[in-house]
Amino acid sequence: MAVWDTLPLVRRHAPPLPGGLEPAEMRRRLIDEVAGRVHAAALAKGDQEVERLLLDGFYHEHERLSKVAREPGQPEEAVTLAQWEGVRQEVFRGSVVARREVLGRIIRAHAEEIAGHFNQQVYDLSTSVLPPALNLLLHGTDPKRIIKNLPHVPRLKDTFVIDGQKERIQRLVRRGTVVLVPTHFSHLDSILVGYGISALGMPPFTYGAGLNLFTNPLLSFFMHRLGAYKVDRKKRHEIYKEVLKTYCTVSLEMGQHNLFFPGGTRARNGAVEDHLKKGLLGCGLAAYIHNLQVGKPEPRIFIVPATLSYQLVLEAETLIEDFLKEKGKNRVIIEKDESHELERIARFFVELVKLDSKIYLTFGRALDPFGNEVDDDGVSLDPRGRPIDIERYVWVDGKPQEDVARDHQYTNELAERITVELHRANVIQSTHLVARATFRLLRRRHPNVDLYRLLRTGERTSVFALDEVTAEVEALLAEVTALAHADRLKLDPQLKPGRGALVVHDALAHFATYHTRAALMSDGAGGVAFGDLNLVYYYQHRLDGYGLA
Amino acid sequence: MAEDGRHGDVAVIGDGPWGAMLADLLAVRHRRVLLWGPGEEVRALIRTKRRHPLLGTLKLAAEVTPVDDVAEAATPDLLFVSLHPSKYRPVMEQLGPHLTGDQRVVSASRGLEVGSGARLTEVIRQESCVRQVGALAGPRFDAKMALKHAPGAGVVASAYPAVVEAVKGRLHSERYRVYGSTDLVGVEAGPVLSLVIVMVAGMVEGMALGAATQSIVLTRGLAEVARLAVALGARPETFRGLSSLGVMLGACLTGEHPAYKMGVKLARDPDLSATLSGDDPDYDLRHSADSVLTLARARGVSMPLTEMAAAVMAGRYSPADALHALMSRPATDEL
Repeated sequence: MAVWDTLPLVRRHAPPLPGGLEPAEMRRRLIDEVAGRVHAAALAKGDQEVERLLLDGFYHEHERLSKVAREPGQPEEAVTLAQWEGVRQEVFRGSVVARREVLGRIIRAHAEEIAGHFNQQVYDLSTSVLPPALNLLLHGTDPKRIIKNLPHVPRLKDTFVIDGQKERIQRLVRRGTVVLVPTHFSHLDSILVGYGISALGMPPFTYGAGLNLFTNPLLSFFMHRLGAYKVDRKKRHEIYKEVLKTYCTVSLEMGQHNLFFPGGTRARNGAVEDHLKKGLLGCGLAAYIHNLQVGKPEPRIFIVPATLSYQLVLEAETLIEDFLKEKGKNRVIIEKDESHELERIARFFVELVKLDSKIYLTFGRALDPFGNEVDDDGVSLDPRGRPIDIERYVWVDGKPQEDVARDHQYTNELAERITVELHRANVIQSTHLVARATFRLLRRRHPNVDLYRLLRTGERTSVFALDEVTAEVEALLAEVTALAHADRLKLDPQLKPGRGALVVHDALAHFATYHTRAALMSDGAGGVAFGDLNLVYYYQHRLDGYGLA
Repeated sequence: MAEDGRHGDVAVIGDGPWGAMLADLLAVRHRRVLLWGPGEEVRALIRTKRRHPLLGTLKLAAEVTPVDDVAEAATPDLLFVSLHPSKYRPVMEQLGPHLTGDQRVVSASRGLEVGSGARLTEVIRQESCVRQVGALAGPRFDAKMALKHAPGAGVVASAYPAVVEAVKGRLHSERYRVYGSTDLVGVEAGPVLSLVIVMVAGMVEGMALGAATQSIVLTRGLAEVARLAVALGARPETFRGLSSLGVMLGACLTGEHPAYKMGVKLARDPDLSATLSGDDPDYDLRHSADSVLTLARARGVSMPLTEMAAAVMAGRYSPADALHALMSRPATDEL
């Protein structure tokens, strides 16, 4: 009997798309609405604005396309360099009418490029194939474990823990349109969040995936077919950004649940996001206002923060190296890293399973577009728990209306609330805690050395006695336990006061696997030594944002 | 807006002297100014005599309309709240349930909440669903100024431009100029932090040390106030404005501000601090200084003048010892 015959298949048929539309029809309507809306808004500002947008597009795209060669496997540009040259000529020699038409064509081309290709059959197949495949990756390569547990075949739920306010989000997807905003540490996040959505029986979420993921051998299959729309972060011209924002807004208005990572890219330093990209975040409010204006029966938009927590992060080495080079500016889009190597991914999961490691997906408190918490029925509540008529937040003279400055501030406040929830749903594990404890010890030993110099020159000689590390871990355990009681974060169940030695042992066991060099290791003489200080620096950032030393 | 260019209703919550004065200023641009406060006698006096017990002979405008029910006072689209910090939350607990998301609420009070140290606009946000909040601050504008037709001015701050524009449009007049700001934290925190420095300036007068020493106190006091406020999220340039420098100068140049007078009294009677109790109005300043220092210590901000003021008010130092301690500090840079 083959191993996979023993694994339970999770055959789920996802609920139909909102409005009962076929995916192709929804795609067509989305593109038409987005293209029409963006074009109309630009034309309404006058012909000088049309000219300005075209030249802005030409300037940025000419800069980009003339410098970087297209890589194999990379999708074709929606608007080529030659076409942009044509645009420039229209601006300087063409008529007003011609310029308006050109703008319309560019907008539509971008909308087409962005739109995904959701395929219900493939979705059903992948959500039935994915869990066992993921299961296989997580468990199947360890035959002893399979044999030992027959007929109790290990299930995905043993390793991947979906927690937090999951029942609430299951209800909210039936009461309105949900925007899921998870933390972003790894390219595996997309797959795991997608699996979590499917495991909870929720409809598929559409989401903006960076263009580089469409060339990733593991992820590209899923990106295309699960309704991902393409976000090209290298495109900086206004037309593109406006099309992207409008795409997100219209898809929400049409009832498509959305997912995007509010931090933008993967957190280079391993910290839970505290500065969010607000461009797409404001789409929920824009969609809500439009829904009210057209009298949509269920206009509500809900924002659900979610935090992923890994003992080890697949791409940690590349990410922290990039962070230290750029000092956190996240300017470089990392094209190739550990997530491009299938063997590396497999090894990552195998090692986690061997150690009974957990990956947590924790849903935070659901919010409305203004940052108020909502209850199970989607009713917004004020800080005293009283129901609020949120429609009035967007009234101007008694009618729902956009107000750029007001809505910008509402979105700022939503972002602040999301970061609180992301931190609250953060599960601290042994690697994070022990990394923080040893980093504290190191800083105390070298109080006057510049941090980046300490990291760049590489601290290889510091060894701390195991007792000293254990004592520091116990001190930190007391602090994080108090934070957990105050509901500011969550703790992996093994993190309890008095268990410092076990926590250290568990962290060292994790650090000894997977990464090229262990972040921390036993020196064989009763001490704990740094193997890769950059990785220690990366993992200790998980405890940022709580006022801890 | 009506044909005469005046707005409809506006409300002032709090019928103390500044609340009533504010209502009178708002009457220039409104057909009705609803005034609500906990004092039944005050409302009766305004209804019958158009006077407030603490505003002397000043007659309040006919548009100022006392209301008995807080729910009625909660109806206009723009409200101002002028209450002592100790009364803020209890009143907001009554008012909060009646407010809606399209209303704008401006705090026209001075101080931080006792105990929590929260800014008063934070209390508004915690007790209601209102988001569009603002703060109005500036040098004291009282009945004497109104009777002399002396102009007043203040700054209104909010993260919502529409709140700033609403207050400018509805309070700004030939009697009272209104300036706008986006630095809510700075405009709210400035007056609270500044009053302790005003008290120290009063002590300098009480010790007869002269105007030059007072100018040093005000200048260096402004610097330490700005340091703390920036640590709280404010912008440094706000402290050159009406809510800090304006408040300090107004209090010191008149010599009539209660904080200034307290400083004078303390300098002349160091045992006074031992007799301060919770019911004494001067006790507020002692509490303010303690609140300010709690904030400063939590953020590692040095505030030597405020530290000495708190020590004098607590009776740990005499004014002369405090002066000696300040002057014994090592040299440092000005900026």
